[in-house]
Amino acid sequence: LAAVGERGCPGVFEQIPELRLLMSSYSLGEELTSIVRPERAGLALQDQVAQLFLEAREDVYRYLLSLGLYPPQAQEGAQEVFLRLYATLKKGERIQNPRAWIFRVAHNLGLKIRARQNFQAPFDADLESRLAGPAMDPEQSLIEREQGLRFHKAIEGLSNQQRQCLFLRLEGLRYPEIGSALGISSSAVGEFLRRAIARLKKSEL
Amino acid sequence: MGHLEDEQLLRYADGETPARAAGEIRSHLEACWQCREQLEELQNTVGECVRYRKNVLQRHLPPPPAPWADIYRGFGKIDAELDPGGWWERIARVLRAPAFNAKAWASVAVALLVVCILFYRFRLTPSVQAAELLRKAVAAADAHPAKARLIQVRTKDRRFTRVPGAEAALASPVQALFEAAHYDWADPLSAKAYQTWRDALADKQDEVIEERDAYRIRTSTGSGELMAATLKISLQDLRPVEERFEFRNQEWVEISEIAENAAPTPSLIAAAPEIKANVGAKTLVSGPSNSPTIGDELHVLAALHEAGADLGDPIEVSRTSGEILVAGVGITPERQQEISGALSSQKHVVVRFSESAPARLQPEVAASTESVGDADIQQLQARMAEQIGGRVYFSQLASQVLDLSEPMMARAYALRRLAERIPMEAESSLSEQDRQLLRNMRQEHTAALRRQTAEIDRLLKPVLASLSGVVRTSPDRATFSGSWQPATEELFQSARRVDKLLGVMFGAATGESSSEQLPSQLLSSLAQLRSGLEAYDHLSTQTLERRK
Repeated sequence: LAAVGERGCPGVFEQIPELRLLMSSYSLGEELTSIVRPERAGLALQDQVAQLFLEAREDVYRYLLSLGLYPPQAQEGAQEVFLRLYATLKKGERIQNPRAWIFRVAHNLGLKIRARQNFQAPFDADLESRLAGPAMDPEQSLIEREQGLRFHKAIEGLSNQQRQCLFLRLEGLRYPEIGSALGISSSAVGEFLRRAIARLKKSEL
Repeated sequence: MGHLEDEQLLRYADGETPARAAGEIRSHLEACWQCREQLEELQNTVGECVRYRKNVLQRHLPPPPAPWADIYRGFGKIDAELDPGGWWERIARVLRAPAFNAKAWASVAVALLVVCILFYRFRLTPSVQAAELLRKAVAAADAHPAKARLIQVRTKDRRFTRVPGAEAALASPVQALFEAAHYDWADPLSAKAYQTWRDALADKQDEVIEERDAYRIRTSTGSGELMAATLKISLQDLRPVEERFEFRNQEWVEISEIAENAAPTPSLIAAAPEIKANVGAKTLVSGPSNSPTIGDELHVLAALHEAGADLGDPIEVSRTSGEILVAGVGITPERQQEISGALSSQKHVVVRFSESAPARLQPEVAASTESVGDADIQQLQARMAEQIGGRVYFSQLASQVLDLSEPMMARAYALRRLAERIPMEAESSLSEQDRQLLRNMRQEHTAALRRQTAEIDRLLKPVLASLSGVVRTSPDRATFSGSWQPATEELFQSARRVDKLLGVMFGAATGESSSEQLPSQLLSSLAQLRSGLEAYDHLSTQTLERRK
């Protein structure tokens, strides 16, 4: 995907030998392909972003929920993130790790949306009652459920930054990428993560 | 190195430690159980987090409230916002660009050139090719003026020969057709005539097919009396050899060159009972002056057969009390010499060659009043084309089959002529040697007929069988009894029926049968002809045995 922004894929005109010969002898490929190539490249780009959307939209949606957005806004926000990715690539910008880019943009967009909401949605309230409810997962033993609830409460007890660092790390982002999303240094990310893990470890005891 | 901190361990496990420090940590971990245990505990908590994501977040968070929207629509909007002008805008942008210069202009010129090349290659080529071929053929004809040659003209209901350029004694309806269509009748089988007609057309569509030994140019038009014409030009010397005209009033005319020793023109032999020697006739008399016998005539026929002059040369043989007259019309001087040479040792022979076409022409087959609708036939042809993989293959098949049917009919006419010239009652007066000669001639003709019929059958059977829905089993086995002369007539009629049906099927003639039945009729006629040929051979053997 990173290569999409480059002008590397062969265009229609380059596939016709006579034309290629003509163009190479006159060095006119640039002008011709600037007219023709965007059409094809655009279609390939759409497919690639659509594929990424399919794979990661639920993760982004849940991350936005974890930031305190209501489900409809979280869903809308998730879609918006992928459209922004498309627009950015379409403008020719290069993106090294699209997944990290998506979560960074999702985090910032989520905070903006949350700011427009009257109050933060209680991300965990519903979750807690579900986890506590006996009928939710019959295969789960009582002990396991209790453990799960305890762990959830421990996560709830983390600071926002600790939790965000943890969640973004869970989504596969590296320290500098998390730092970039949250606007902190990567060593700060390391420290937040250490504290988060330490608190969660205690809850397991 | 002292014991490691949690943060160090976590960074190390996450691959966030610089390579050198990571190496040191790894060495320490190998040495230190305590730190390794600490790392394991960290990993356990990480594992717990992963399980929490999977079991709690993914399972228990509320799902998206609505189905996901079609992201492509969003892409489309973005495209429109980013690139409102689309193609035109992009082209305009290139033209407007500040750096726009000669190079950019040249790119536009190249683009236009490319469009022209593609247009030329895919759209105009047949026309250009046709015009070019005709131009070359005309030039070739001008460079090497052809010796006077004879052409055969076939229409729906007649068949005759003429010498191009010669004035016909009577203006024929065919001539009127050509004149109405502004097509040169004086020398119709020429590239010049075709070119002149084609050039005068306001709207035309050309098609050029390269065959094994010839080009076939087909030009169709919406204007004028002549709807379409097809000219076959020899690949070797660009000489026009065959032509077909389709007129708007459903008439068609086929003109072909009569080759020096092959092409059939049975009509004159079969239909014109006598040919009057015209001015300029050349006479050759040989042999003693007593009355010629049927045996003498047979020898003349055999000599003509030997020279291949019984398969198309417009030659007529007749026997009177004083002479055996061999009359030929419009035969080239070289051919005249060959024929005279072949007959030089024959007794009582008078050879007359005239240079103009015969004035009197007999219609060969009465035109049918009821004919299969064009649309029907076209539909059938379309189905056949579909079966064999397209119009091009259909044209190929049609020309192959029609090319075979011509020599097939030439053989049938030659056989019939033998039966007419050597009637049953006269045959008994022939010597055994002569009877053997006659049998040999007949056998040569039937062998050729069998080959040609089998070839036509082979070409057509698969496509006809699937069209007619049933593979016809052979009809009742044909049997002939008695003498070979009436059997020959039956065989001839059988061959003519096949020829006629082929003509209808491939659009060269019209017929009474419906296009629905045509495939099965043709199949059964072919089977009948083949079975007839077998019975005919059997008859010859029987006769021979009886005589023994």
